[in-house]
Amino acid sequence: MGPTNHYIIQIHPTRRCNLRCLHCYSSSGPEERDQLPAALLLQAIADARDEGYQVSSFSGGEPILYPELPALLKHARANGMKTTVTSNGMLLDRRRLDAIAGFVNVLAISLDGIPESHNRMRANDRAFDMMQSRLEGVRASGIPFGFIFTLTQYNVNELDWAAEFAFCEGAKLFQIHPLEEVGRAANVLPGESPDAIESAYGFIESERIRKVYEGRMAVQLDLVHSQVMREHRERFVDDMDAGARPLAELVSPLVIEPTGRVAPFGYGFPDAYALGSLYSASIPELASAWRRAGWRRLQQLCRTTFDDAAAPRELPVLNWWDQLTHHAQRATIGA
Amino acid sequence: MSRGSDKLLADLVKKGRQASAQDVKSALSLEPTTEIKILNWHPRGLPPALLEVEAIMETPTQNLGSVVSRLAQSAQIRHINILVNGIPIPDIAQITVIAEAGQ
Repeated sequence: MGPTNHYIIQIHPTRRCNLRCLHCYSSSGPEERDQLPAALLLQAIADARDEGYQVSSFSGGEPILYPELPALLKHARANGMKTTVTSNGMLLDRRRLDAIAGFVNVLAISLDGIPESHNRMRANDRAFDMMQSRLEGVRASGIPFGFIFTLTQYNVNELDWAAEFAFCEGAKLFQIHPLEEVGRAANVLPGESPDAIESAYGFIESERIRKVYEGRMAVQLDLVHSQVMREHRERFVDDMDAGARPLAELVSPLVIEPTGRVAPFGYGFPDAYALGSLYSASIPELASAWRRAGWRRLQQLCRTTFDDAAAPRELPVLNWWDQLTHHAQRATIGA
Repeated sequence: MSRGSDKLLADLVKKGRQASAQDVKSALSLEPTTEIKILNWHPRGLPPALLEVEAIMETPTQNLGSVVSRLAQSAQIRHINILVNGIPIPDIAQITVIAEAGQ
């Protein structure tokens, strides 16, 4: 369940990062040492494949700093999965690119607007220049790459610049993801996630940009129009029993956090909906127990959230994942 | 700090220019050589992806058929209003037309 085209397992192997970005959902940084053992993740990837997941998506922290990332990527590909890696791009030197080339379907590099805005969000004056200096090597590596732009309350006007930058640098994908006030962002950037007005402008701008680059660069917006929700309820709410259905049909994305916690939909999703810890059981074992009780709870959450989010409204563009998180937090507090 | 959308709109105003009569003809799928006088027009909607043009035009009645036929072929035209006038002979057709986004 989830409005994605593929069944995705999102793996955060480490919270170690060379940056301490203001909008980081996992509060990662250079001092963080949370890291999952490679053996645990190798098993989790194989189990995820058996549960129907088709894409292994690696993020962090900075996943490039996880020493066994190449082995995980190879393993995922050997299991027939597609792979994506999300990076701030600053550390993508020749050695690291060579180690992952051939095993990555999409390398997604963070880009938060014009250099000044990017550096502010990255809390580093050299972040943009260093990232840009690595792009020639990325192109030479042959790894298909794209950029992820974090939409905030203040930067929809920089989308046009960012899309042109991405296209000129040879990107195949330009993804626009709204800021979610989770992790460090909740403390450092309160009130900076795009409201309904900015989301509506983001929706319109992304449609315009999509037309400009049609056939040359894919443009993806992680926001949804409530009318689309009403027309495709089945993509947001699953009324069927869990039965023996693969876990991927029930939850996508499924998230593995650096602590071993396995949770639905997004990093830090409330514990009440989590499947458990990889340190205590494997994914199939966690899924088996979760199908009995957790599934019903998640179904109910999706129904409640859908009824609220899909209702006709003056400003109809919204972040489904953010709505789910808020409803889940509310339900948890109310429980 | 200003909203991104406020900055976006301010940038559009700075970058924008007034539409010319030729721009309006083009938006209405009319040939530049069409014998028609455009009296007034209003581009509407921001950003430009939502541009809607409302134009008031005049043409001799003998051209009315070809002009309307041309307008009617455009999928983006959603409103046409025709008033024939002229003293002492009604020989002028005034056409009000609205073209939707994409034009």
